[in-house]
Amino acid sequence: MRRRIRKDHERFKRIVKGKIREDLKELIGGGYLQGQRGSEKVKVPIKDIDIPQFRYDPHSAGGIASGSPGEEGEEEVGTPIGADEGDLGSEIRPGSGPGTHYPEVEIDIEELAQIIGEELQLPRIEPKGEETEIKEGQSYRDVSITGPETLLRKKKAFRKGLIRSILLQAGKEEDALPFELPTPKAVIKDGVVPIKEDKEYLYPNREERSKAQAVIFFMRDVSGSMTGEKTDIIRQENHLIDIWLQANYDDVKRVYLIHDYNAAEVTEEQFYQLSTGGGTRISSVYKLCLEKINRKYRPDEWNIYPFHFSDGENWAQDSLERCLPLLVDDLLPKVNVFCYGQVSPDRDMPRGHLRALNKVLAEDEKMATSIISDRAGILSSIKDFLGTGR
Amino acid sequence: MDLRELEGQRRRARELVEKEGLDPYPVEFAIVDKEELDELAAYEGFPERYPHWRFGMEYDHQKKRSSYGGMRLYELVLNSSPALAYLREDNTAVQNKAVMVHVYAHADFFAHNKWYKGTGKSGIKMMRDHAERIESYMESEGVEAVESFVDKVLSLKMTIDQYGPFLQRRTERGDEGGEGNEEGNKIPVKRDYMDRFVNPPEKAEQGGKDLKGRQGSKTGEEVQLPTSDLLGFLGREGKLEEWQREILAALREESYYFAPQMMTKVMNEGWAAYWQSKIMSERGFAKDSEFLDHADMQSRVLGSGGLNPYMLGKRIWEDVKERWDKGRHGREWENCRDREKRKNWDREEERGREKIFEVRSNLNDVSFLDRFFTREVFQEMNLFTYEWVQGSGQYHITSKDFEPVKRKLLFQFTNMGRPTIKVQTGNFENRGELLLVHEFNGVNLHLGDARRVLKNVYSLWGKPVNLKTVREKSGRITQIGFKERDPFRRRSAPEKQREGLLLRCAGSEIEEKKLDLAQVEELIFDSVDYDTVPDSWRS
Repeated sequence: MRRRIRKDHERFKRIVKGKIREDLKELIGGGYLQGQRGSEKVKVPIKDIDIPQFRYDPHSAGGIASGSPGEEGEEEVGTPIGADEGDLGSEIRPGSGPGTHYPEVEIDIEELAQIIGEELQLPRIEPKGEETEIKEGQSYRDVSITGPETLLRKKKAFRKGLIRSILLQAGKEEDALPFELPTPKAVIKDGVVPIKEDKEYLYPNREERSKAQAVIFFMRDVSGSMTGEKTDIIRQENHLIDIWLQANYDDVKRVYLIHDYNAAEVTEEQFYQLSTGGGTRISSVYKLCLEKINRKYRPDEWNIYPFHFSDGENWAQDSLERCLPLLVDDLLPKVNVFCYGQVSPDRDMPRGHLRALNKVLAEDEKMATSIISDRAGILSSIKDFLGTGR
Repeated sequence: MDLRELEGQRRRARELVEKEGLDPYPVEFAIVDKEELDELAAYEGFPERYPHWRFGMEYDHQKKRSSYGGMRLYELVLNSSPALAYLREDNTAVQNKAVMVHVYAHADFFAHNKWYKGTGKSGIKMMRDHAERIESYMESEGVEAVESFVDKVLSLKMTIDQYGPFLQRRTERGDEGGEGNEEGNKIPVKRDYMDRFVNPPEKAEQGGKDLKGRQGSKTGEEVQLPTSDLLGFLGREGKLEEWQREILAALREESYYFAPQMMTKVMNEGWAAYWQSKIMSERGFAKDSEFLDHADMQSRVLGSGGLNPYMLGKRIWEDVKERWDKGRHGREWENCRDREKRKNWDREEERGREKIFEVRSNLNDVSFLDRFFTREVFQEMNLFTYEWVQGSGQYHITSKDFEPVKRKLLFQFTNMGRPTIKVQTGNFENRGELLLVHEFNGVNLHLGDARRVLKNVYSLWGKPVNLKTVREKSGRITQIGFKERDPFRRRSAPEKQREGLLLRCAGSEIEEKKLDLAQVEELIFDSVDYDTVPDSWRS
């Protein structure tokens, strides 16, 4: 990339990041950060980053489009053709050209995590069990100014040499561009000899492979009262947790556990969809979590992060007599941090389960708890959970 | 890429287009790789532009489009003499040939379409000068200050009088001698071809009766009002520092440079596609073995969705050529309703070529579409109009008929697809406030963006800024997909509900005041109804 465009590009990215920082609460509360599983990018709608112009209200202006040829008849008068103004017509208006409207910007998860980290002043996690090995990869994606002749980019060197020769011969009168350039043909006839500056060599990528790996246990209560708004809050919160841990570890595995009176492992999709009418017994999911850890995730190899969300209701007996012993004796020694979130839009005081936890574990550095009473509380809750840097 | 072979192809391409009667500017072709092309595209093709984040944004998007959007950018050409165009290093031979012909047709259009007369021949140098000037202001005034000022000016880059240069050049050529002694009052302009319309010599007084529309300016000069050249007005009258005035003048010059390309997009792209197809296929510039590759390349360009200016323009050029070859024009043709007779109509006039060259010299998209987007062209293109329906929260197809489609088409190209905003006075209510008016054609202004623009205008004007507009509330639409229902049960469309609005920006706040219709009556220009919702949908 040339210097000029790199500077403009960096400037643009800085502005985008500034905007995200500014709107972070709103973006998170509104559920606007959309990432796709497996993708390294997150789509973020950015308000007002475009340069505003006097323009028509698209709803008032309507538009014109062409139907697909061959499929004539499918498009009848009255057929709905979409709700998003960006899809239609905007390309064809002569005044629009490039740069009319960009409601969404994609940024790297890593970059978003950095912003979130800085805004919340989250300490970077120091993973345990990390081993780094460097191995020379097979791909040659970088270039270097020195290297063996076999890796010289010959065509590129020739081209650069040619351009240099042309410019050298033409550069007498600097002011008047376009000046008379000798034809490439004439230059080639005289011979083009690439000099050092023209030469680039392929350079093997060094892959740093770090073995720091983490497993996240997402757990939630799916009994009757845990629906709607509460689900949305949990989804957003989990997404952010996921982004942050992904940025801190090279390899992240996810396990989704739900419970009412009993617990079960589910897919991510089911995790947010399922809802049952049954009662609540939190110890069931803590027990399942422990079983999973014991079976698959050895604490000396894995960084283990259980997150549990419920509305705080549980049998007092279950919380005190089953959950606490499970946590104190088995789970806490194995995990990096165990996080419990009470999602209770109607109140911000601790309920039964959280009160029980606080009674014994309030001072335990491996236990983090938080009350999320509305969407605006998501950010501070992330801070409660991950602010320890564990 | 074999340069000798390439030069041979270039010379051949030039020969072929000249044989067809095209007379392009000389063209320099530069060979670039994909990344360089993405960069150049971000800078609208220019090797040097002033530093600004929006180019970085364009680059970001361009890179995505070309990497995984599947959109390959084939051709990029600058209006300049010599013109500058780019060839991608991984182009195949047939792609290079096609791009060259296409580019030569653009260079012919730049050189001969009359709307380009004001743009001069040195666009590349102009952009480089502006880059240097703005960069040097960044050094003296600070990057932030300059960039934020540029943002504000760019917010108004389309509020110019795009017809101005052409009209003034024609009517006022005789007055040129008189402008030498007013040097001090003028907007600084580096090239004299621009000077004539950036600082037009005063028109002769048309008697004292339109005094209302004029005002004494701070520089003692008189400015003709109302004007659509808001940018020029602010450059003269705004509360600006010298460096700001300079930058505004530079950016305004760029707007005037680009305006003709926006005013002739369909014509120009169609012209290039037309000649590319003709020369590559009919004249055999694509070898037999390359025929399929070229067809594939062309279908990518012509077949992309929406309303494709390449396709639309090419169809119209072909139609005009055929009609004037066969004498299908004039009153007799227009009045002929006999389908069979029209189909076989051939007076062997053979004036098609002459006609298309005449049209390419004289029209812009609006007049081109107005005259030559005929029912026949329409019937081949499967176009439809759509409107937003509040109740469903979606756009719906509203018509597939010729008249509504043509009306909507013209709407989208009139005034470069933008609402018409004019400066009414710089001394509104005797308080030195700026009054802008929106000439309402039945389509509402986007008020959210208008508010943001007003804030920018405020900072250039230095005093409160007002905008008068008209707002129409559409009648509620209850029936969609009325086909199943009784098509004869027509309901009358509701009275259009309109109200006047006055927005006033005095800093960060914007006040909004409702006005009686009587107060905005002179802003309503709605003789053409752009709304294509069928009456039967309204209740």
